Amino acid sequence: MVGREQENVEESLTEELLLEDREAVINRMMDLYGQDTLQLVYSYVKNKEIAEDLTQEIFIKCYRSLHQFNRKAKLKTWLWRIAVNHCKDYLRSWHYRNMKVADEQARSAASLREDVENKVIQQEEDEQLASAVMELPDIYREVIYLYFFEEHPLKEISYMINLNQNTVKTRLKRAKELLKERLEE
Amino acid sequence: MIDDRLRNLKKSIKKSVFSDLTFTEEHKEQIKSKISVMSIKSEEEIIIAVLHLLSQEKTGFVLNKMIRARGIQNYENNEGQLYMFLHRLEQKGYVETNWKEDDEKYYRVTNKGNKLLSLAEKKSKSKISTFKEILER
Repeated sequence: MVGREQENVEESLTEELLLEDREAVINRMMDLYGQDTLQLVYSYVKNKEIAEDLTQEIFIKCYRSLHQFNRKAKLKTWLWRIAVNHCKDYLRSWHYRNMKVADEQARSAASLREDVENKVIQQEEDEQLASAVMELPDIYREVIYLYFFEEHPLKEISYMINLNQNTVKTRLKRAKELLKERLEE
Repeated sequence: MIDDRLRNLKKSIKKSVFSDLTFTEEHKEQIKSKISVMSIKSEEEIIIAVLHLLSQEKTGFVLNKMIRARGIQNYENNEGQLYMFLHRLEQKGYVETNWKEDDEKYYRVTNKGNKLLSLAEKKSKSKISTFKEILER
């Protein structure tokens, strides 16, 4: 059912694309994927305000490059690739790294973890899982998120994060090992 | 074992980490208004501008500066895209290139390109796309 709906959505979006009504396409994309995008971004940057800013930039970027969309991938997959890249650029940026250093000096290295942990009601097993995932190193967190939270096939993940499928598989395996260690300590 | 637990990940992250994360109407409106003030031109307008500018031969670098001066921001921080576009125009025979002694590549519009340009300018208001051939890769 869900799959069928998705297909229809993709079809109608492609029609709008053909009509070159790019603003309409972006508006629809925001309706459909806005929330998911914000969550995806948060899973990388772990800060609400920054996630909101980056999400805004991602949709604008997407609007700018809509003419490059070649219809080989699904529109959502394509958007995800842009979003993932944008998040990684941010995490590599001068601004982020300096902010992080300042942050660490001011509050100690554990601050980020505490932010996440405070939101999580510690005891419940489920929520321990969420917090353990959020604490994974970036490269492992992203594959766990895309595979288990968003339930994308490996092939699409490999396109989104621009890595070959075997690497994605290896990272998933390693990520699970790490989670296992942390959760079963 | 861990796979079983990961099946609950969706529920658990939504309940905890994402609990106060919402993409609101307000966010949407902010993006919409930013998009509408951006002077992003349609691909057709860009083709007209590029063919126009290349009636005198130019390097890609100079061309890029001049289209930006025309308020076209599409290739800002994305010059690679402009070169790919020029390559496409060349393959279709609308633009020709010429290497000069200074090792720089110059672009210039061809007769075929000029015909396309005058055709396009005549009906640039109409929705029928003269550029279908170029736009469809």
